[in-house]
This record gives sequence, structure tokens and C-alpha cells, in this order.
Amino acid sequence: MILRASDIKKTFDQGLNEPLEILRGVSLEIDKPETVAIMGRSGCGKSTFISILAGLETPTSGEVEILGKNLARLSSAGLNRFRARHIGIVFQQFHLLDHLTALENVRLPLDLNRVPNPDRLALEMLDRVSLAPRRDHFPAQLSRGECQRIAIARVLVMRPEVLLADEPTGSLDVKTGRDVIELIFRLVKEQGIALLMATHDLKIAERCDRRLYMNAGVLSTERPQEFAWS
Amino acid sequence: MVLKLALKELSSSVRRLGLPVFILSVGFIGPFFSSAVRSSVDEYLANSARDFLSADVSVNALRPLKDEEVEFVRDALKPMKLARETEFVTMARGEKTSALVEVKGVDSVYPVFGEFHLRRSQDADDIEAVSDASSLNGEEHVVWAFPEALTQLGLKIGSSVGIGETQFRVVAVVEKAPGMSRTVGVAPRLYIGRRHVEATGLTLFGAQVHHRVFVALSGRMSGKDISEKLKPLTTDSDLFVRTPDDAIRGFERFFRFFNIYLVALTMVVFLLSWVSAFYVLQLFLQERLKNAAILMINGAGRVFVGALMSLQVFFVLAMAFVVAGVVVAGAIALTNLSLGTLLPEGFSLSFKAVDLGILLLVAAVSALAFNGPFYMRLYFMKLNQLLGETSMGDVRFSRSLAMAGYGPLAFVFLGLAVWLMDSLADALRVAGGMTVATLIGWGAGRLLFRLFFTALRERPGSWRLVATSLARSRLGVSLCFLTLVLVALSLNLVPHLLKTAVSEIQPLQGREVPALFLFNIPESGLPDLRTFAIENDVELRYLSPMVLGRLSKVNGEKPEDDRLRRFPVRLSYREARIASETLVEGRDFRGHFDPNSATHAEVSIEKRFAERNGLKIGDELEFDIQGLPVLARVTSIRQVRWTSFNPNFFIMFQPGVLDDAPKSWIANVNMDGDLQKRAAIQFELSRRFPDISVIDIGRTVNQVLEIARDLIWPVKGGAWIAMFMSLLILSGVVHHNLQLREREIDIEKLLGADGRLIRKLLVGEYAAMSFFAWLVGAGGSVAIAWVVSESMFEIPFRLDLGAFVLSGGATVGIAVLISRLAASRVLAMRSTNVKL
Repeated sequence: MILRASDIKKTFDQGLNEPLEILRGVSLEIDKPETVAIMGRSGCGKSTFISILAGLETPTSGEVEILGKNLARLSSAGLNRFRARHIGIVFQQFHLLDHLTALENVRLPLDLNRVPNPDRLALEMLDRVSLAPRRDHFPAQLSRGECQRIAIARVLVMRPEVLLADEPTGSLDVKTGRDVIELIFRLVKEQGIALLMATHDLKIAERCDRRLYMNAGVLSTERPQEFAWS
Repeated sequence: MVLKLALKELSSSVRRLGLPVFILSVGFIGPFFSSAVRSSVDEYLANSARDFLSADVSVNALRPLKDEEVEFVRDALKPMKLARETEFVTMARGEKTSALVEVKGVDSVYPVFGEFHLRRSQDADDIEAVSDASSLNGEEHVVWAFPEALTQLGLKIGSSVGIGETQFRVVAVVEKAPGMSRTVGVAPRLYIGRRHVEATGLTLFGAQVHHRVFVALSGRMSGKDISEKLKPLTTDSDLFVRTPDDAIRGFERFFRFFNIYLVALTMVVFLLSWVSAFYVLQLFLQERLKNAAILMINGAGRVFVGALMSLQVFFVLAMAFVVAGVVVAGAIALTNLSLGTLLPEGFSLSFKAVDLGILLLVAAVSALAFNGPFYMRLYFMKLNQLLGETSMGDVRFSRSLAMAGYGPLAFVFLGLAVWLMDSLADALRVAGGMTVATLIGWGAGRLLFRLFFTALRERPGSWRLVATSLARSRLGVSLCFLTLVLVALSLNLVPHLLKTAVSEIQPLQGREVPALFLFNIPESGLPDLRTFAIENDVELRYLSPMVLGRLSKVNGEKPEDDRLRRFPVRLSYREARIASETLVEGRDFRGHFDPNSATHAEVSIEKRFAERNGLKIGDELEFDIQGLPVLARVTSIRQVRWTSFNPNFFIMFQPGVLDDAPKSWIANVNMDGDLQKRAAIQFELSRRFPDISVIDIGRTVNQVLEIARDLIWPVKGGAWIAMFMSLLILSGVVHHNLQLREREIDIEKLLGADGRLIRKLLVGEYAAMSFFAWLVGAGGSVAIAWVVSESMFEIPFRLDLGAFVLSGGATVGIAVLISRLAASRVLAMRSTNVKL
């Protein structure tokens, strides 16, 4: 089993009379390298669910197991290490370090985790996202699409088993977004990675092996009305 | 409305403004304190100027004043009181010891202002205030002595002291004398009656004696009016007039140098503080930009929005102003309380309202300067751009925005320096020096960071990440680096200078260093003195003639510096240069002067004297030597090592010119033996040769060293305080810098770094940075100390190796400690979950 989320609930206490229940018992299993899309409107809980699966948020109740490891049972340091090695996360906002070049950004997790031959591995990955010629450029000198490709390269250089993508094309124009999605799909297939992507783009979702729909804090395979057309 | 809105926005950000307020208040403390010191000293000098001179005006001469001259003064000024004084330096003899003293022979009217506080017994409380010196001018030869004189001569009240050919009885100790001048301690003062001066036999022709008339005016008269009324007198170059302003000039000059030093330290901390606060405030201002755009969408004009921002930043500065004011008020009260007995009577530190007003103005102008980039954006960018603008990193504006921010701050800085130093020239020098030093320091830092990065770029690991972060030289890193350079500089500079000065001044042991310095040796006494030396197994060295003359013309014109014309210079001649003289320009004398073949004698000028008076090789000088004109030409410039304690002169004549001029002699006495033998020789000398003055070089050097050690404390103290304040700013900037890097920390955690590794990276960055800062700061201090020693004071530079090495440990240790504390705090705040 690659990923198992069991009855995940998440409630936010915002100091109001009633706490805000975002997730009301979400369960999911991924047992092979497949691509899964989670669709839903803004604010339905997709990003919260992705964050919980990545170990960036703790659920109010429920369990997450990745590669047989219960995330709740890991220490903070252990979770960081586990996540770095086994879980890749691609965000809408790239989150590159502005003072590092493209190559240095891709190399960063290798340096932090003391992986041997970091330069060679980083350059190879940069080449695979077709940005080797821009290796010495800083994020401010790259386009948004190029920044997102760097972020993807940084994530995949560690060869994770799971890739979580939260609206990876949300801040990109249509064409660039399409190129980025192509890249993601190509790389996850090449590396045999399980992909879970939060998106509200139907076309992207239809490329995935499975489509799930988040509605009112619950995940289901039933397609709601707004996603009826295809 | 704008005020209400400004306060509302500020109140929602109170917690975040704590750090900039803290940093700004640290920067304000220096100008507050400097302005209080300067204003208090100016006020004190203005009120006490008359006390410095102990008169409204004095007329001075190196020859006895004629009765008609004194009468002229009386008629011209119609004084309330007029007193006369004769002053000279000589050896006084106790029972077993002798010492150099300053003797003031005063008449019965003296002093015209102030009073003596005399102690006539051993009882310390038995002090009598005496407003005239009539008891000194009775039949008996009595003396009032400064306490140091009694100590050096081994005397007490009732003892007998020999001055020249006369014995005087000590009848009182002077606990306080009129006038502010005190002897340094080399020649403590004795007061005798003026009628008894002649009896000492020490004021004969050839001796250097000052004759003075002191006047207390019956009404107010300006210095200009006084000079006008006494003009007929002052056409005689032997006479000169001093007003209270002249009397305090020396002190003013000394204070000016101290003020420059104090203000330089103040401005360094101020600059650091203002730049750091500007950096820290950027995030605050950035967020306000979006609010500003929203206001404008809803109808507010750019002026309204600009005023809103200015007010907010002004309030921040005003809060810092108040905090600094309270701290300095406390410090001033503490200073007055703890140093009360050490400060001059009538002096106390205090704020002046006008100074507070000016500092508030600085705050207001700074508020405008801090908002420079904001105004630029407001003016040049469209509304939708302002709304979408999320960072200051807009490439199009980046350079001009930096100028808009830091440019006006430079004017604030310069304006403040001009005000504190009261001199545009001094302010430009300090500001220019600091700018150059900052650029050099920053450039050196960048170079070192790049070298560090180049050395490690191919080596994987966390030190490569550290080197990369440093090499990218972000503003926060640069600020921390420059602060640490200042820390290293402060820890090094004073120890190097002190070691250099002490090594130079402290005499060596043995016969090579003179034990005694003799002057006022009459020509007639030379044979007996030589015999004395042989009998007592001491060596007379560098026996040199001293002729008094005046430099009346340079290249046919009167010298620009009036003092050269008025005051005699000491001239001498030798067959050859001595060991402490080095020729720097020109040639040695061509033998003895031959009046048949030359119209001008040759002279050699000391280097500093030449520079001060604009003299150079080939200049024609005309001297007035005892009324006779002597023409000379400058043929060489010499460098003199004054700390050799050899008889050295500013002007040396070619032999054969001054041989027949009236002269006295000076010489060194070298001897083996201990302090006892030295004291015995000194006593015997003063007993057998009452005309000759003797200085114990060893004791004098120790006294000077003691005074230097006391004087160095304000210098050291100032450097330490500046360093401490810089560390306060540093800790604020480090903390802020690490907080700004929360996102970076979160990304690193996301990518697998644990808290330990992140702390290692952060602390490693500051450890490396501080090591390079130490290299630059310590290296800079060696360079500065070398320049000051070799070029300014012309003494060999000595490195204080201990301070050099220890400062490295201290600089790195401080940086590691501060960064560790800040990192732990930031990491503790971010320990749960990664928020992106």
C-alpha cells in the first residue's frame, strides 16, 4: 500500500461560536503508482486534505499511512526526513529560494539530506525538465512556468514514491499550465510515482487514472452536477 | 481624519513595531547625549570664560612691563581692579629633594576675580577663603603651595623651601586657586609675593619670565572694544592682550578633538541604527502600500495617502525619540551624580530645549526619508500595479528605489553630523571617512564571501549552503557583517594605539636613556657643571646652546601666524645632527657660516614645524635675535624623534651664526644607579646651581603615562559604549533577519532538514560571517593604527597581538551567541507544522 488515509476529519477553531469542519471523514487508498485527481470548488477542503497527507497539517482525527508508516507516530524531525525522501509536494506558488540559482534550488534537498553526487543528480533532473541552459539563473530571471518546472525538478530529484500536487497550474496561464502538466505526467510515469493532484481543471482530471470529488468535506467517486460536462 | 487613520493602522501593528522603535531609540541615544555634552560645555565655557583667565583682560609680556605701560592700561580701561603677576619656572629645593616648580609672584591686589581657598593646618576642614594676596607681600618670605608641590618636595606647612637664592616658609596649602588653569603636574605651582621675586635672583636677563597685568573691568566691554582701546600697546610685538575667549581657546581646541571623536562614534551607531531600522521597516511599509492602493480606489488622493504613511513612520520615530530621551535623561542624572566631584565646579550635563527641538526635526525629516521608496511607488506606479505589488523586488525600480530610500537618509546623516560638530568641514571629513570605510569594509566582505563560496562550491554539504547564502550578500547579511566589523574594530584599535604610545614613551633602562634634563644653564656655569659631572660620575650629553629669537619675516613678509612673530622660538646650533634627527629633505650644512662668502645663514627646520607654518626648502627667513636681524635660508627639513628625550629644536642654525648671541644651555644627564642616586644628584644640582632647572625624565614620563592612562578612559569608554549599542542593534537585525527567513526555514524543513541542521546552517552562517568581519575589522584597525602611529605621530607602530587574537574569539563568540539565541527562538516558534 502506497498511501492510505482513514476517516480523516479536520476542524478549525476560529474563535467563533461554532468550529469550522472542513473534512468530515475522508478516506483514500492508493496501492500502486497511479494518477489520482481530486476535484472540487474553492474552499471545499482539497488543499487541506493534501496538506494532511503531506504531514504539513495534523488531522483532528483519522490516520494517514504512507508506505506503511503512520505519520502521526513519527517525531517532527522524523516526519521531515520521511517526507523529504518519500513524499514530493508541488505547490501552486513554487516556493523557490530567491537567492539560489535554478541548479542550487534543485540541489537543495540533496545537500540537506547528504545525498552523494548532488551536482550530477541535480543537473540531470534539470535537464529532464529542459532547463539545463538556465542553471545559473535566479528565480527572478525565470518565467513562472520555468519556476514551476524548477520546483518540480527539486521535488523529483529525491525520487519520492508519492507526489502530491496542489493546483500546480493555478498561477500559470493555460498554455504554460498544459506544458507543466505534461511534464508532471511524463516524469511520474518514468519514475513510477503515485500522483495525487488537487485541481479544478476538468481536462487535467480526465488525464488521471482516477477522479475523486470533494464536496462538503467528503470525498466520493460520484461526480457532482458542476462537473457533469466533459 | 488622516491622524485618526494613521493611529488606527499603527495600533494594529504595535507588536511588530517594537523592534524598529528599539533600534531607532538606540540610534537616537548618541545624538541626545552628544548634543547635551556639547551644549553643556558651551554654556559652561561661556559662563566661566572669565574664570579661566581670572580677569576680564590680561596684558602679557616676556619682559618687565614698564610703569607707563601699566598706567596706559589703567587709563584706557578704567578698571575696577588691576593686579600684576610675574611667572617663571625653576627648581625649588626642600630639605632633601628638589623639583621643578612654576612660581607665580603676585601683588597684594591679586586676584582681580575669584579667591584662594587656603588650608593653613593639617586639618582638611580648616579652609579659609582669601580674596587678596596681601599676606604674601609682607616682610617675611612666605609661600603658598599646591599640594603636589609639597608632596614632590617632601614639605609640609611650616617647612622651608629654597627658590633661587632665597628661602621661603610654607604658610598655606592652596586647595583652590583663582582661574581654571592647572599645571599638568610636571611643575606644580608656588605663590610668592611679587615684591620678593627679585630676591630669588631668577629673573635676570636671559631667563624666560612672563609678566602680566590682570584687569577687572567696572562695566561690560566686548573683546573687540578692549583690543581697540589697547591697540597702541600691542603695536609693540613684545606685548599681547588676552581676553577670556583667548583663555578658553586651548580648552575649546581640546574639546573639539574630543567632540569629533564622540560625534564620530555617535554617527557610526546612528548610521547603523537608521539603516537597520529602514531595513526592518520595509515589510511594514510594503504592507501599507496595498492599504494605500485600497484607499486610493475609494477616493483618497496621493497626497492624503503620502501624509498618512509619513505620519505613521513619524510616530514610530517619535516613540523612539521618547524612549531615547528617557534613557539619556537617566544617564545624565547618573553622570552628574556619580562624577559630581570630578566635574569642574559649576558644570553639569543637561538637555537644552533647542537641542530637543532639533532632534525632533531630525525625526520628522527621517520619517520622510524612510518613506522615500514608498513615495516613488505612489508617484510612478499605476493603481492596479500598486494593488498587485507584493514585494520590493521590482526590477525596474530596484536601483532608483534604493536611492530614494538611502539617498535622503544620507542627507539626514550629514545634517546631523554638521549640527553636532558645528562644522561642515569636520562633518564632511567624518561622514566622508565613514562612507569610505563602510564601502571598503563592505567590498572586502563581498570579496571574502565570494572567495569562501568559490572554495566550497564543489564540496557538497551544509558549509556550501552557508557559503552560498553569504555570497548572495542580501541586505540583512550586509548589515550584520558591517556591525560585526565595527565590533572587531572597536576591540582592536584602542589597544594597538595604546601599546604603540606606551612602548614609545616608556624609557628603556640603563645609561642609554637620560635620567635628567637640564635647562636654563648659564654659559658662565658650564665649566663648574662639567666638573660636577665628573665628580659625581654622571655624563653630560648633547650639551646644546639655546638662543631666544623671533621669526619676524618669511620671504620678506610677516608670518601669517601672529604667534610666530610674538612668541620667541628657541634656536640652536650643532656641528652635526644627533641620533634622534633624520634628514628628510635637503642637505646638511656646508660647514661653518662664512660672512664673507654668504649673506644668508643656513637653517634646518623640523618637519612638523615646517608643515604647520608653510615653510619649505629655499625660503628666506628673517629672525630678530635680541634686537639684531639675522637672515637665513632653509636648506633642510629634519624629522625629530621627540620621544628620544634628547635636546631637540624646531630650528637649527648653521654653526658660526649664533655663537656670540646671548644664550643659555640645555643638556641631558645620563647615569647608572637607582632612584636614590638620581634624587641625590638632582638635589645637589639644584643646591649648587640654583639657576639651573632640572626635570626628572623618568618621573615625568611616569606622570605623563598616568595622565594618558586616565585620559584614555573616555576614549576606551566611548568605543565600548558604541560597540555595546552596535551589538544591541545587531541582535535586533539578526532576529528580524531570521524571522524574514521563516519561509526559507519552512522550505528547508519541507525538503528534509531538521531543527538541528537548520540551526547549524544559520549559526554557521553567522560564525563564518563574523570570522570574515573580524578579519576585515581587525585588519582595518591595524591599518588605521599604523597610519595614525607612523604618519600622524611618526612613532613606530606596535601590534597588540593579544588583543588581536582575543578580539577574533570575542567577535565570533558574540555573533554565534546572538544567532544561536535568535535561531532557537525562531525555530521554537516554527517547530510545529510547516506553513507554506
